[in-house]
Amino acid sequence: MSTEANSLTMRTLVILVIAVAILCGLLLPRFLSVYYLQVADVTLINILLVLGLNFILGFGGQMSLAQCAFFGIGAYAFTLLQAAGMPVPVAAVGAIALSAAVGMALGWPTLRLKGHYLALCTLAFALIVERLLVNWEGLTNGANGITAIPGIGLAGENDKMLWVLLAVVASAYLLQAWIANGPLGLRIRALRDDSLAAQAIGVDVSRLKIMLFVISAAYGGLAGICYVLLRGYISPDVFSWQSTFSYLAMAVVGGLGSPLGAVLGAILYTFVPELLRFMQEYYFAVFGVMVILVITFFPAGLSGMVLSVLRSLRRPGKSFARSDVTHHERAA
Amino acid sequence: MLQTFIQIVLVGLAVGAAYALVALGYTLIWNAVSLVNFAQGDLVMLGAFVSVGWLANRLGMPLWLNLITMLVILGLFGAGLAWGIYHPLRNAPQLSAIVATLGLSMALQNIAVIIWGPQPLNFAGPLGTTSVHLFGSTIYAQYLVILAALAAMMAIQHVLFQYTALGRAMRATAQDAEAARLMGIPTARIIAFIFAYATMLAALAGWLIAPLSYVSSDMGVNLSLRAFAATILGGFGSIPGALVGGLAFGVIESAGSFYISSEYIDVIAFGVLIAVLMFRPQGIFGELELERP
Repeated sequence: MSTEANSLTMRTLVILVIAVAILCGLLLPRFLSVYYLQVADVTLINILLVLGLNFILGFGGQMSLAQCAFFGIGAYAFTLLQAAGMPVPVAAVGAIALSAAVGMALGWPTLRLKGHYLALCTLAFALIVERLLVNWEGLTNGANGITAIPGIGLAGENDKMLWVLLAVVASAYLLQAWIANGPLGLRIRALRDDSLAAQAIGVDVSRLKIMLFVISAAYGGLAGICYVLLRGYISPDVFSWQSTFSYLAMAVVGGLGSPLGAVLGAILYTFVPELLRFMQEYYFAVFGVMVILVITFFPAGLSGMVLSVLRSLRRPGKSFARSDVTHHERAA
Repeated sequence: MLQTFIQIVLVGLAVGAAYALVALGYTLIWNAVSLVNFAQGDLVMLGAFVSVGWLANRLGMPLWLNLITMLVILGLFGAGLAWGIYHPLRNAPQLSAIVATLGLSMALQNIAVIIWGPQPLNFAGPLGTTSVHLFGSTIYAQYLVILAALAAMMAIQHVLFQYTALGRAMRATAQDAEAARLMGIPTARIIAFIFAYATMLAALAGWLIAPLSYVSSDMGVNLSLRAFAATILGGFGSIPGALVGGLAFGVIESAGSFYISSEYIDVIAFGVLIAVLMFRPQGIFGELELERP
């Protein structure tokens, strides 16, 4: 496919994403109650986290389970930097930089690990971060968390935060699509499909893997900042190691390696349980069974289904986002 | 000093024995069908609840009958999992199947709350809080029961795998399901057997640890994680690895929480685990499966 076609499709995607974001910003507050608006905001933060996970898991094929840790590091770093008197942009950049640096510190020593071994290592790291957040009381105020964080003064204002989050998520989505469609995306896909062959044709596999860890962590840190801005308080239980499995499930249910999949997975996983609340104590059991059913009927994720419907409607040869290639991926 | 040390090691080994039972389940299912069943710890919980909530509290069964009935129920449930979860997903990508087991874990925990209520249950077990003196140290007798049960289970498993036709068929299926099927082994049924057996191991662990802690719907979560850690520490897919990894992880936890800090026990135990993997990326007994750095 020529570069011209690529830039054209990217331009279409930009317009499409911005249009959808504006539409959501205009329509959601009209139709959703205050409570559901907050659910929508949380959904957007989850989309951000899953987009981040997509880099390392979907594009890189590396089974990382540390996303909740970067989420927490970003949130606490931002909070503490702001408390230390730094202006919001400096604190935000600092928090993202710290998440990215920790991502590099985790990605580098685990280069040799594969499959389940990497999964456990990153999971152990997530658990360690959570225990530190709980026990390092001098820094984090322990299990009580930190309250009344100034942020940008929009904590609790779900309608205004909706616009902020839509802007952040739209940018993050487009950045991912842009990376996936560019030359870097080709190298990433080569790494995932056959790392040995990629190495043979001159792809620096180690650097690429570390880079994926770093971008993934930076997205996680950014999500952490967004969470602080939205809520105005944080506590370690938001960043518990078990929550990492929810993000994993969102990524897989939505469809790995596709930004659209991240969006669909996060929406399904965050919104549907709320809609099932009328079933009272049964709702999480029902939701668990639903996850199993979705996986059984759409093993390639929801985006795989949506995209195959879209493709059949379109002229062949002009797919509008080449990153949206779902992929049957074996983790090990 | 020495007495304390013996006590710590014994408690660590006993807790580790429970990890090992769950870890064996992971390993057997992984070897047979390349699936990591993250709901394995919740089967521990289910075993404990069936035993305590139904058989003991409702029916007042004697303990030996309680144990056998529970194992039969959970064995059937495990075979059901092979048909209900594994079978429809046998051709799905591995990660999808893992996420399905996460969905199963979520469902099981919440179903347990629906059936047995949100309050944790108490279980005295065969010995209650009897203590024994051993080498000058005092520990709960239940710890020794757990160790004895693990030893007995390993002996039974050895006989099953080495000397029975069913065991041979299970080993053949685990080694190469395709070839096993060509040899006329009904692999689908054997896989159901493997699921049943793995579930019974987990349920046995639940029955054994129930007297030491409360029986609650989330008791499997920590066991799932620690047994997974044990599996990795021992070397993924290795049966002696699961055993040694489980016992070793139990001792690391027990010693770390006594000698260093009980608050930071998870940080220590999982820090040690990461450190071990840095130097031995395939675990203790694992086969070398290295990613080129």
